[in-house]
Amino acid sequence: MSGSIQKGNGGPDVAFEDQENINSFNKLFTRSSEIEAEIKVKKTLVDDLEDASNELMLADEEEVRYVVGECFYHAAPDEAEENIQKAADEAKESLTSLEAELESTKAQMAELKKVLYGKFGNSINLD
Amino acid sequence: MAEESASAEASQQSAATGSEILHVPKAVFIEDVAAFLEGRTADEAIKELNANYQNYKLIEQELQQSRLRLVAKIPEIQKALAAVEMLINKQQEGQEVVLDFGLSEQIFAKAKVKDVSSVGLWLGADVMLEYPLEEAKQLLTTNLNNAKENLKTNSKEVDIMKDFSTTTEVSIARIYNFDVTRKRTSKEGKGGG
Repeated sequence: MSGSIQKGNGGPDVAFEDQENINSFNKLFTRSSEIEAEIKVKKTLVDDLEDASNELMLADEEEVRYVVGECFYHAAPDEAEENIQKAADEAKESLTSLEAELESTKAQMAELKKVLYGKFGNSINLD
Repeated sequence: MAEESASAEASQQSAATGSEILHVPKAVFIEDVAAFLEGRTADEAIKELNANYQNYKLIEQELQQSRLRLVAKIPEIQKALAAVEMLINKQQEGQEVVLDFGLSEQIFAKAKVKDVSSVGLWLGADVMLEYPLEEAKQLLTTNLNNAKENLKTNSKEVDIMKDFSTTTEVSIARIYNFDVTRKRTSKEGKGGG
């Protein structure tokens, strides 16, 4: 649990504004781990698609199997390449936006940490 | 081939009602701990807040579970949508598609598919309904958007519950600390007098 006031330590009392900061910090903390998990998944997807694209180039087949739903359909390499490229572009785009979101989340967390540690020192735990 | 997982109806309901469905007393920030404890002991107040806290956590857990369901559902719909779109493309081009489809887990058979104009969508509850391709695409797109919308609503609800539980947690710590300080001061007062 992140962002909790320690029991048994004195420290200044919590004002409404502090409470809001603590709440925000807590939500950001959760969100940042969620984004990190999503980024991991997307990165794997981008890598996989890249591998597929490379394999496709090397394969030199007249026809390849492309997964759709629960099936494989027989596609021309060009068509497969087009599909892979489209999927890869989408994945890269969402990866970029996730990374930007993570960065801004972390920045906000750092800001709140500064404010809250500044006021409460050791009587608050934000990790 | 294209199937649409059940419970779409159920999740739509939760989107409609939004955060108002969280039938719990709001966690109120305690401005003045001393005033809050007027007429009762710290233990009593903490006990009450603890009960609220457990409640908030329970609701948060339920919300997290429906979140997991939604998160799993979205790729499923996307998969179905991709399949329908592939069929639409092939139909427009007038091409025949050769499919390897799973007969069982490890056995695939070959099928030639041509001039497909409709698919059966699995509606759940052992019901499958046949839709023209375009309609199937529309339905799946709507469902996908609904699922994404529901996920957003769910996140907001989780956030509200998080605010409540964090506030309550902090309140408990503050009451505890206030009580400790009060007891210490009164002891010191007696010792001195």
